[in-house]
Amino acid sequence: MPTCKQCKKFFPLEDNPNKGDCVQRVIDPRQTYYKAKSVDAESDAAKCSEFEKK
Amino acid sequence: MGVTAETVKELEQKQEWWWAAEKKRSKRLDYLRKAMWKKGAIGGLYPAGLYIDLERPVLQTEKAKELESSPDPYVIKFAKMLAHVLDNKTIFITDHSQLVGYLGSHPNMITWDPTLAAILNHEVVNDPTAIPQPVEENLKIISEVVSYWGGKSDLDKILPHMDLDDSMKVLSGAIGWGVPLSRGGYSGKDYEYIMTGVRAFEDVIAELDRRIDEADARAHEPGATREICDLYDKMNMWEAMKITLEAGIRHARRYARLARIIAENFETDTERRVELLQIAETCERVPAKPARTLQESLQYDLFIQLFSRNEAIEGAWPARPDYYHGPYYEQEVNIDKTLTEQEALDLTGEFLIRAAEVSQYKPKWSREGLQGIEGTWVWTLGGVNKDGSDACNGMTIALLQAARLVRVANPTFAFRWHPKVKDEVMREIFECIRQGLGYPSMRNDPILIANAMNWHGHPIEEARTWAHQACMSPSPCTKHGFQPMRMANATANCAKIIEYVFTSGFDNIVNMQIGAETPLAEAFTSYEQFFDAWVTQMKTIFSILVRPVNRARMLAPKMTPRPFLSAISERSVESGLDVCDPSISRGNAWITAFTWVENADSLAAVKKLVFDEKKYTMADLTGALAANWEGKEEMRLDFVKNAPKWGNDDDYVDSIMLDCLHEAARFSRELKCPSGNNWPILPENVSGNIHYANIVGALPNGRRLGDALYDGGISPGPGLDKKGPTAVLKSCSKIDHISDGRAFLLNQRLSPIQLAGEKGYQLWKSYMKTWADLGLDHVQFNCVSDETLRSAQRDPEKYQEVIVRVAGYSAHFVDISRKTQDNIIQRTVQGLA
Amino acid sequence: MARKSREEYAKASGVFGLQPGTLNSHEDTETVPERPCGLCKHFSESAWSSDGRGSCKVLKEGSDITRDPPVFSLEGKNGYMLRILTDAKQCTYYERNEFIDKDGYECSDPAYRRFIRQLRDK
Repeated sequence: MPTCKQCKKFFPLEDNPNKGDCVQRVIDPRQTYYKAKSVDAESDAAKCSEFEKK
Repeated sequence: MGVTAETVKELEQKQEWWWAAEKKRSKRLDYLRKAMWKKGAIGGLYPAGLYIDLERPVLQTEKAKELESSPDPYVIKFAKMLAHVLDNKTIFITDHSQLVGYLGSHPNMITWDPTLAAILNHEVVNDPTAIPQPVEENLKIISEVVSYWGGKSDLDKILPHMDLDDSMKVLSGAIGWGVPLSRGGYSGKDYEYIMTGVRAFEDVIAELDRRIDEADARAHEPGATREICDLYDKMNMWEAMKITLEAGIRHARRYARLARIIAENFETDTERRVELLQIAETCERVPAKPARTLQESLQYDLFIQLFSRNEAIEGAWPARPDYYHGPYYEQEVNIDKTLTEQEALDLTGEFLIRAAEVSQYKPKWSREGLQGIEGTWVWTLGGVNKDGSDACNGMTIALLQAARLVRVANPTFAFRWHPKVKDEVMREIFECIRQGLGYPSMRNDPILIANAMNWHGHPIEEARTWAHQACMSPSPCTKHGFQPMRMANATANCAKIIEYVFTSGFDNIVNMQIGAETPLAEAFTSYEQFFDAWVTQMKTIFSILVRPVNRARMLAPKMTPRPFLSAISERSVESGLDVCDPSISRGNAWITAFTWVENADSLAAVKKLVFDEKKYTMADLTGALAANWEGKEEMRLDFVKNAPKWGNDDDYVDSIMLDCLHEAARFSRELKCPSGNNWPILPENVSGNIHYANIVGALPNGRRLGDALYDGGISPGPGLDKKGPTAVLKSCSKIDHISDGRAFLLNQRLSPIQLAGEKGYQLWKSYMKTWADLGLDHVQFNCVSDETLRSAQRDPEKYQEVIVRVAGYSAHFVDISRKTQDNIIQRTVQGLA
Repeated sequence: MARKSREEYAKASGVFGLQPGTLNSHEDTETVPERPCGLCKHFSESAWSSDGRGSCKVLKEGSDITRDPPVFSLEGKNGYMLRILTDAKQCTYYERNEFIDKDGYECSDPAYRRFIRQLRDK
């Protein structure tokens, strides 16, 4: 089972590697931005369409 | 745009200010302006592309469930829920931006707070356009959230403690709008405490720690008193405040971290990388520590506004940005020269854009009553310092210039005019008006300072710090002077006063007895009897609206606390009491009087045609109104054309207007807020005149059910002010703008052709001198031609950027309903002499 | 006039906070009966919001069309408070409104507008 920490978009917290940010590039009809969502390092990424193995 | 060949000058000559602005602004501002998702509803619905954000309600619900079995007091649980959202919500940084922060998870998302009211939650369930895809799946999530908060939301908890009869009448939507909630309305701020650069969150946290320790020590000394009992609640409150401030600091640092991640892992452009690192440094600094630069100051302000909206649904954005950010502008631009004027303009323009994006899901009355915008972000500029000297500074001018470049409809500005304002600033203001922004509105500072002292007893130094708490109402930004929450349900649909005189208080739209059961109108044999009934209805309606607010203010500290707002308020940090606790507030309440002028025109028509000329009987009139004038067109036109109308310097009707205001002012001093202060009225409208068009029945001024109401405040009815702008000003000047009410909105439409060039400026300045000499407290201008507005109706795609003044706010013309558009076009264009 | 009981208020107001435990499930909010009050010409939606509350212009307070047999009260002043999705199958005063304004991009007329999602295709 792939987990968030195996993904290129996962950036662990310096003081707690079990948690981190999933950082993604988004292009919407008006603007382009980077977004970050708090995730657990061990979260199941099997169904994540954004998963990219490191 | 399809006009690239034209120069800025050519575009300005054609008065196509929006295309000129596009060419004049920097590439960064151009990108950010076009990147912005406008959030205002059109009529009652959100436009395509906007969706309700489900992230926040899910986070709130999961945390609330987790805390159900916790032994924490409610205020601490609530603070933890707010912190949970800030710690876990999705954040983003838009390309080219220098300021960060948004309530929702994505730029086109409208945040929904399910903890406020089941009524609001059911609007979400019923929303026909904004539920995100996949709808079926998301409806199940919504349903789970709605189900959980049913009976637990603030309004659900508060209502059983209110007068149920009043609650039913308020929530009918006939006589007012809004809710009596401390987390739903317009939060004033103690800017003198938190925005002066003296302290920031870490300083307040240190103060809270000290107070908790002292209280704890005191509580364990030998003895047992009421004071010691109270300390336990205070320690809980201080702890909750601290939780929200610490969460705010962590949240800002999440942005700092994201900015560094982008800079170090993704960004290839060197300049942008530097900007991202600057964002990181800024968000590491503020709100933890006081700002040192303009960017930090603006970012700090933005965080405070967002955190306040994390805690409450906000319909307004009280602010005085030139006053509080001005010192940073002065230091960086004029003294240290570490920032160019252009760089400062970019930051200022972006600050306006960031504010314009903010959005929270609001009920239908709000969407219709504030069409085209998210809320009334009426920012206060100019005015005087505490010592009475001119407060204008470089930031005042930067904000006025930035507004013309980014042309957002919200925020708008209201300018505190006083005799010491320099010509340079007046010219910048005039450019905004001439270029059709509809803002700044002009406020008469000496009059309004005297008004604040008269109505609420604010000392002069505090009165001089005032900012608009919503569209129109001044509120000091001081420890005891600021009002923490203006609950919007003290908003009266005043046309109902005269309507209920004819129905003995029964409301035929919502099928409910709401007003007083005054005698049958056909039984009145004199104008005096008729006017007495009007006074009774006025008192009844105002009381129904004010009582729930008073009650909610008293219940708020325990049932619906505001730990974050308390944490940025000196009086709460000092006392350990919730910011809404009436005992630590001087009081600055007001009743917003929508649809007010209809009363004067209707009373005058009845007096003249029924009692003076005896052309009709009261029975004739009552029957005609009950039939919505159907079959009585000739009679209706008589009431329209042959009865005097407000705004023509006609003492017959003007004296009736004064009678109404004097009765209301007298009663305003009998109504008391829980702090013991008065409830003056404030006539203005936003787009309530259209929202209420189908809710107010036929009136004696000749209006039919469904016709738009007047555009508000003390503005004459559209097309009914036939004697020119001076007559309008003279009518309005018969009102004592210090003692007859809290403020009085006046809309004026001016011809853009007449305002062209230097001559136009001199004409306007001369008009403003007359306005000031006559002692009016407010005026605002629409300066877009009928031709442009009609072209925009025919071809909205080409006129996306045309802005109009609706009432206490501006909106993009294409973002308001057709009926509102027509109503603006119908307003009289006044030629200046 | 005697003060109403809490139960009477709850019934008369249609306000959610006074009716805990009801009207909050997915089934409650999604079930559209064959004859919903919202499509009747006598129904007037709340002027405050589109949360589903409304009142009847014919039936008065004290009516109950959900009981079997239904109670129709035509006397008194205040209208009978009900909901846009109340099942009116037993109501003998029901008249389907044929001219319903579904354009939510204009301001509402409580008597005619029904632009809630559940009635969009009705």
